[in-house]
Amino acid sequence: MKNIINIDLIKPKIKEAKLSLYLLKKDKLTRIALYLSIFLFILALVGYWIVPYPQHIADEANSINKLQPPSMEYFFGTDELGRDIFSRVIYGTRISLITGLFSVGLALLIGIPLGAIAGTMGGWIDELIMRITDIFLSFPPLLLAIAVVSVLGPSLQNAMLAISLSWWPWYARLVRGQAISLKERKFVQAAKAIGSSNFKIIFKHIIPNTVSPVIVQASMDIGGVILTIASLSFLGLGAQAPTPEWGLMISTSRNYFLNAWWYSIFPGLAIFITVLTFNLLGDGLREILDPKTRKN
Amino acid sequence: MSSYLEIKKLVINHKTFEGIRNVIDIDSLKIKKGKTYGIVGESGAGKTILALTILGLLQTPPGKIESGEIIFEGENLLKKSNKVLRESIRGNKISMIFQDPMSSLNPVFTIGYQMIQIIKKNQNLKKDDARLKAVEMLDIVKLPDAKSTLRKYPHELSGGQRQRVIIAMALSCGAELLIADEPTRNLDVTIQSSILKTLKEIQNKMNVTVLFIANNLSLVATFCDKVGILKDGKIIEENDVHSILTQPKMDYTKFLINSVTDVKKEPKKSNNSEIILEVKNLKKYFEINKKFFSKKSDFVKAVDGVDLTIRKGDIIGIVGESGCGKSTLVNTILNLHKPTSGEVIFKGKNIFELEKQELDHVRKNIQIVFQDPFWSLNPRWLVKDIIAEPILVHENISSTELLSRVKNLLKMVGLNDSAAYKYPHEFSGGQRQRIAIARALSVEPEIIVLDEPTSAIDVVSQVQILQLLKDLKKDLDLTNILISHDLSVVHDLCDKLHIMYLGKIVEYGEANRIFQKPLHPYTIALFESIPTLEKSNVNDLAQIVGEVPSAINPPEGCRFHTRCPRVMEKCKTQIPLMKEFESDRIVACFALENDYGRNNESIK
Amino acid sequence: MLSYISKRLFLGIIVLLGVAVITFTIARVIPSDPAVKWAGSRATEEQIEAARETLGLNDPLPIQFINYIKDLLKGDLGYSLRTHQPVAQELKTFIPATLELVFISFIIAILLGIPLGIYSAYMKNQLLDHVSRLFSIGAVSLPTFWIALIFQLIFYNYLGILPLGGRVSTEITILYELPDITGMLLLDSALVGDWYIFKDALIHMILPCITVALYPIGLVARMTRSALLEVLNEDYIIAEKSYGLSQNKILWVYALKNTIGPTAIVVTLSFGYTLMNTFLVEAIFSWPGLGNYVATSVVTLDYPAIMGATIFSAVTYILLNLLADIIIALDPRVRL
Repeated sequence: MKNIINIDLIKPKIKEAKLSLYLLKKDKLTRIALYLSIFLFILALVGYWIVPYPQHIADEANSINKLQPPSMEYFFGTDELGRDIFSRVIYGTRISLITGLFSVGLALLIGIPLGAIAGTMGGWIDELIMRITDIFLSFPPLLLAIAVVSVLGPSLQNAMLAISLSWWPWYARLVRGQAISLKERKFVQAAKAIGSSNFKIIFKHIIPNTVSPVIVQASMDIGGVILTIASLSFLGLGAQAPTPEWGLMISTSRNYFLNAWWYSIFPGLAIFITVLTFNLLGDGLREILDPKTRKN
Repeated sequence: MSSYLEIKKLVINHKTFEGIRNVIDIDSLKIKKGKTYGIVGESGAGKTILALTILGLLQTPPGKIESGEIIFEGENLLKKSNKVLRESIRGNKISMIFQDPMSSLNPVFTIGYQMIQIIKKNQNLKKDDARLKAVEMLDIVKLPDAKSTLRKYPHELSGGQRQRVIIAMALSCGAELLIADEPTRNLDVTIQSSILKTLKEIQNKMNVTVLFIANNLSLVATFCDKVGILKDGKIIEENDVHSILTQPKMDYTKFLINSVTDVKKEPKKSNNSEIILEVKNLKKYFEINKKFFSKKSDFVKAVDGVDLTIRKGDIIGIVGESGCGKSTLVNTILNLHKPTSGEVIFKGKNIFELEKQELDHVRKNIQIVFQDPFWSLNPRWLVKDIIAEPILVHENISSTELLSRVKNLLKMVGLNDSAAYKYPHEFSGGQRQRIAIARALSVEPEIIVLDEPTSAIDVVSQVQILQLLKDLKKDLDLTNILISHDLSVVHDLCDKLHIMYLGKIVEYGEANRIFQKPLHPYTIALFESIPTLEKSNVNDLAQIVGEVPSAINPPEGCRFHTRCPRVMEKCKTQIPLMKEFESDRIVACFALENDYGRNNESIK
Repeated sequence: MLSYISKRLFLGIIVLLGVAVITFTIARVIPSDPAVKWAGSRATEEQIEAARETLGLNDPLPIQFINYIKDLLKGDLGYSLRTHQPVAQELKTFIPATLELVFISFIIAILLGIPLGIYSAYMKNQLLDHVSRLFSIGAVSLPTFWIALIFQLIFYNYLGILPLGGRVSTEITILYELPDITGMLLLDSALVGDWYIFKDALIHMILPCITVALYPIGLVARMTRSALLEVLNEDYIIAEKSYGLSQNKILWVYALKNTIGPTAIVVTLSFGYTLMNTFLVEAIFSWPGLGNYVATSVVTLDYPAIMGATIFSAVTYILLNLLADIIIALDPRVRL
């Protein structure tokens, strides 16, 4: 009896998955992005253990080898403290990915419930939440982050918090729009007629149906969030030395960049490739999960 | 005489991720010039695909024309290039009337702009001449005030007006072959009959050949000369209308004919059981258009003084066209809206004055099945959770007992146990309606409301659902409120009937007797607008002039007076009350009062 | 329409009030004591106390807030803790430079991005579409500050054809008096007719503008493409084809007009992003604009300056959103 239950539960999901795989096969660019992102995740996980100079990630380094150009010993050259840039860049993958995921996650956690409540309940609750959203939205993301960080002090954690605070309104807006159209759907009316509580309606009926487009939006945002964190660190508001964060490395490199081009180039390249991968992946996912594409 | 349009051995496939599916497989289809050819098929049978292919507008991935010919005026259309098709065929030779007028008109351009462009291209006229021609076209389709219509945007017109515009656009191309793809699908019956008559007039006057596509056999039979039955992409039977109806060959054809033929009914015993639900002078107004600075706003008077009396065990029908307020009425009864005024009394108590616990008890006893089988079930929930939802809200039972009740309910509605673990989208429309019915039954309510339960599903499922409802009525002695615009459904199921127009009830009585002899002018017109197999000609359809007035500022006096064939001076200023004219026949009409000589008391 | 605009304006004011609350909170209710900063690191106890008086820090918080609002309405944004100059004054000096950069980059972004988006949509799934997709997504993935450095390396270091930074060459600032009408050098020199300075300013603008414009080009192209694709899938497009109308007409007139709404949003968004991007690159190109000012203020924790810049940006954003709302309301379907 139990076996039958499990198979029945899985079958519809298998069909949906098959459709996704089929669409994925047709889109080369997204496939490449998918492989690359998996690669990046693996790098983030095992980076620490596979780099040639793990000790350089923190501070200890040989000051003799300051600002060496790329060589067989130091693939990306060394920085002003003699640290291997290659090891630091690879380790930086972990930092960027974790902070990116965390920031987006926190923004989702705040935005989705607020948006769902606003859209479903309507009335003054909706107006109130929307005004709050508007206030946060009228701060350009970078500036809000600057403001928050300048109060709380520059650190990676505060940068993540600042980003979540500027990102959640987008998700709230998105979910609210979904909720408004969903609440006209008959299954919500049916639930109301049945007598289900508002809380139940919002969390069990509305939110599960808004999850899909929001997740797609969020995966498109990871790239942007990683970029913003790097920008904040570049301005000195995020990661602090000696953390091997890419934006921070570029910032430090400015002092030497006319003579040590490798110092600026490689961390920036890392940012570019990572952000590009996630943006391509997100964009491709959006196409694949778009119900119109799936209908055909 | 060689055919005007001939389709030979046409095979069209559709490439899906699960493989290749065949959508059209027509051996032969011949249309003669000047005639009307109808194609009847259910949704998904391939009708629109066929129409688009004739014009060369099929989306070629994912569709693919494997083989066949479409011969028009001696040439194979499938062999022509897009450029040639555009210049010489589309518009000036063949044009199409689309199904959904809202989505087929460009929303950001005025009607005039769109029409003038079409006329300029197809008839090679200059702008001013084109404008005159546009006005002429709008007059032909009987759109009042053509000049101001030209200046309007699509969303400013009503559904019926938009459909006329679409017809005018197709005609203004000057084509001799019109493909009408379900042109009256989303329209009310009275509007539909008016448009069909207009279309027929035009066809005769301008000698246009029509390929008429629909999903309703009666509609096609009334309008067309020859009929082809399309099932799963194949024309399974083809003949002139009279022969098909009297001597159908295929089972499916026979089935279609049976499903729209009225069955003789025995008179029903009168029901003297207790009154279970009473509605007294219920009004529901919606406020709209509240400007930021002004105090006044407009009201949509959706329900404007409705009385109902429902006895236990009856199936009550509420019939009316779109905008009459029937859905609002029911939603208010269900307490989904707060009423503007009036009472709804369930088992002696006014439901709007109850405490939460008593209100919950009422909620439990009035359940609803909605029209839309897709969105009335949460697409992300498993069927077992959907059916169990009311139980979980109102009762406290163990999960094993819950599961067994769910399975019982599935059995009751004719579905397999295994359905419990599936998602709604894995079922057909008819099956989803069964799930919705199971959900409604789960807490054993006293009243079940059915809001257009069969409008959105295919004919086969409709028949099954109706049978299910009849069986349930017999087994469970349910009281039902059935809302529908489909008179055959209502005739089949209901004991008593209310006819609703613009927020008011105009006629009430025993269903059978109303069908035999409708009294109110609106009821008469309504019944006569519906195409049935007995009406062999559009001329047999009634025509009510004008459009349904807006509910924002309904007409003074009797609401129907602007379209009533029996209108008198009195009707324009005074509101008629519901009076009993024969035993248990209650109607609100001044003309009737004159007929019956005013010797009846007013009841209710 | 008037009612719609007034409602939007009213909401905008409420939002602005909220922004003021937040900036006030950040500027005043913070750990470190502004008075100390004001007085300097070597101030005595009395001097700090005097500073406190000057800054009005001894009043209770609600009074401080009301004074803050009053000042805001007068256009008084307080005094910079670092320079002791009025923040409003300083902003006025720096804003035009940033605006100059933003406007030109924005125009480049629109002129290049929209056609790119249109052609991608039209040529869906063909080579041009894939290439432009890679390009636009690549453009929004580039760290602006990084590409700025690369441009400098290539065009200044290796090729030597473009200057490293600044708005004008240093010789010019020494030898000439710079025209100052609007504060935007390019515009001013053109107005005055001084083409030598104009040419110099132009050369200095090339790298910063291209750097800043890259992100918005990608954004505008992507969003135009998806908006247009949605429209091209609509039923009325098929209907128009069936009437025999030409493909060109359908694309450039019928389809495009339906994208007004999304396009307005894209355009306003990209203006905002362009503004943000300039902040990042001003430091690199030594461009004397708002971004540079904010960067310095951040490093010295000069709260009134930071908050002043924040309020300015917030006002700009709110106005942009209002503009977008008005453009959307031009769509005949929107019922006011």
